Amino acid sequence: MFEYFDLSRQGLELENLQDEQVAIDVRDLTLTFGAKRALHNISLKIPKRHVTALIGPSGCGKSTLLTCFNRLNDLVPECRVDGEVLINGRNIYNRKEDVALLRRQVGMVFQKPNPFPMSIYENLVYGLKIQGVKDRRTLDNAVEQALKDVALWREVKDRLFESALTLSGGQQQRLVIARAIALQPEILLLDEPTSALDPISTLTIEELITQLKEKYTVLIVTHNMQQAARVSDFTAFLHQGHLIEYSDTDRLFTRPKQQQTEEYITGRYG
Amino acid sequence: MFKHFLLNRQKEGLPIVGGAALVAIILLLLCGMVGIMLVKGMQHFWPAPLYEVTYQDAKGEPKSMYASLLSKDFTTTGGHKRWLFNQARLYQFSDQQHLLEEQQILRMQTLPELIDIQLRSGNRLFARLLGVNDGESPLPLAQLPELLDKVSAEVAAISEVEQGRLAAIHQQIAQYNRRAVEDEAPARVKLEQEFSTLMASLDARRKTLAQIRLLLVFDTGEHYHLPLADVEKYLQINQQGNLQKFATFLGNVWEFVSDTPKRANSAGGVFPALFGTVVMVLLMTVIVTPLGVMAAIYLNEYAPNNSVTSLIRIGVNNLAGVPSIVYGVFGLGFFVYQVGGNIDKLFFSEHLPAPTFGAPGIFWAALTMAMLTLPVVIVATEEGLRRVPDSLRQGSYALGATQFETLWRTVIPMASPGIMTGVILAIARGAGEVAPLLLVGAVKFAPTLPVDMEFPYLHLDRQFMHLGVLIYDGAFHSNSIGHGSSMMFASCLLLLLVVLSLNIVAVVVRAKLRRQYQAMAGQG
Repeated sequence: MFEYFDLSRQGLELENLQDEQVAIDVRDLTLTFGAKRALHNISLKIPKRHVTALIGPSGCGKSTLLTCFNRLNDLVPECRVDGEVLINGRNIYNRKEDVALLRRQVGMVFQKPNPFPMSIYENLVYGLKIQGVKDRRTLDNAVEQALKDVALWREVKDRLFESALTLSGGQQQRLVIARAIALQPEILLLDEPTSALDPISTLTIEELITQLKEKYTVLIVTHNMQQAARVSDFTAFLHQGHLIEYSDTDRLFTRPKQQQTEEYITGRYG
Repeated sequence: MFKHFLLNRQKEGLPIVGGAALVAIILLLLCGMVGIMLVKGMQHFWPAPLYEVTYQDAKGEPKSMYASLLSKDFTTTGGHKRWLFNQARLYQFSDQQHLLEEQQILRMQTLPELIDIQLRSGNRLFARLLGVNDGESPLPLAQLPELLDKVSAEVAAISEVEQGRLAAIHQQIAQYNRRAVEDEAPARVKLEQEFSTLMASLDARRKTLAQIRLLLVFDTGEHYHLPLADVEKYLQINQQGNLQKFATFLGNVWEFVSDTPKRANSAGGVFPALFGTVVMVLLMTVIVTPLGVMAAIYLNEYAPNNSVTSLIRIGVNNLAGVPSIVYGVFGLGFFVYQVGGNIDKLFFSEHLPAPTFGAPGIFWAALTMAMLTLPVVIVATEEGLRRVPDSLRQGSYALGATQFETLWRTVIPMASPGIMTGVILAIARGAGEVAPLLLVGAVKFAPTLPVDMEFPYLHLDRQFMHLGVLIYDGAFHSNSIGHGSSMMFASCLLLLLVVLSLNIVAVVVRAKLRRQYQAMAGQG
């Protein structure tokens, strides 16, 4: 109990968020694949510069919800989204939305490290080059800064032009995070970023995540409840496409309001 | 128990043994094919000894001929062996084959003075060399090589003057004629004087040249004085040791790949055909690769997954099975007559009715072959695209790339080994096809190469020669039984080598690309 009060260091209460403290405002979001409903009327506010975890059993729609925030689900045929997702007060599902611009604003990292089969350097400047940045010095600085942000700089600074595929799995995942950071996004979406990694690499990434929230709003989907408890400030629990409970992490794990949440976090099902 | 075991063994072992046997048979066939090409083709280059053959003719009288032996058991009818000889005589356009019954032959001698002469006219002749003289006195035979070099240099010098200064004067005078310049005009008089002095000096030089002659005896017994200026090269094969023969062999191989054909493609080299084949295949590759890749990208990345798309896929796969001659007819009807004819009407109307692009040519041939090999490239490229893991596509999209940027920067480079596989298969198929080429641009003899030093350097409208067409021509249209066919085998060997080396280049490129993208393809 004492710990709980101590950890509410953010001084943020989900119920009383100011507008400028909200990174993503989800309003009544419903998502269907053809005839199948994947998300049901979800509403939640993701606070800025904090780590928010999405947890829930497999197939609950947490990854699907994540891909709503950078509209990566546009690629899925027959996928339909109703409701609003507001980022900086702008509904990203408006018709004139520049999706490429949105995805630079909202970076994403996937479950399996997916570096491009190019050099480390080329991987990091991929997004910038697409934006048309050609100045060598700008690119070099971005690469150095991004690698320092993910604590990879010292490991790879002498082999920037070697293939990214020569890196270890954990290094690859940090590289992929750096690749997203190089675009200076506001929000980072992490889709089970450590599930393909060994425990030590996992630890490194988790430390990284807690540092990242100083600059970015981080959303992380995870299967691992200890991980959610360790790294996140707020946690949302989803079940079968419904948002069951959303509160700050310590309260959700210690005093869940819903019975389903309690059953899940105590491992009775899921 | 044992029987049961045996039965089981057979059940398991048979497919493996059968498979291995099949593979062995296929390998054997392949080796046999290459082996036959190699042996028969090499025979074309290895210098055969010349014989003076004395034989009984039909009346029972002894006759003699100078010939090389092609085969000792050409055909055996009723137990009689017949030997096949090759003769070359002065007034015959090509080599003649001569068959003799084994018992007709009385004597065969390899006289050292027998000589095989290649004339500048393209003819070849076998004779006995008795001597050389310069019109007055005989010269020592040992000097013959230097003498031939000197004479050849003089011949070249004369023709240089003829085609250089003399031709220029000729043109100038013709121009004066057209402009009706008076006969007495000083410039014209001066030019005509120069013309006649040049002609006189050339005549004198030719006359001196003609004095140097070879004294020959033919197998008919006739003596003949052959001006050395008419001789392109000669070979005294019976005086050569093995080492010299090997040098001659290498010389023949070099001549074969570097020289133009002679005597209706039955002798000389095949360089124009080799060149035409390579240029056509390269042109075809340049055309088919972007077309095939774009089609595959559309089918795999853009096209909706519906019945129309699968119908297109079925169509593409079926195109691969259409007989090649159909493509030839399509090329002739559509490209040559329709497209070419309209290009001529629009851009080259001043040349009509003589066609420019409205006639078979290398571009239409390359385009037709590109159509023929298109399905192969499409299928292989689609395979390559399918292998690119979706996680990479998503990674690219997540960084703000559009679909095109994702394709251009990530997917296509990663699918490039697959694209190269398609190109390799296309080259292998394109280099070997003959039937469609006969209709759309390949000819038996083309006076010019499709690439030369004249603007625009690559002449897409020209007809060209092709190794496959040459082989076809050699096999069916040669009037000689032995020699033409040995040239055919040599051409086959060369065609195999061309396909092989083009493929090796493509395979090396693909291996390099694979190394670059290997780890990722493994994951996908």
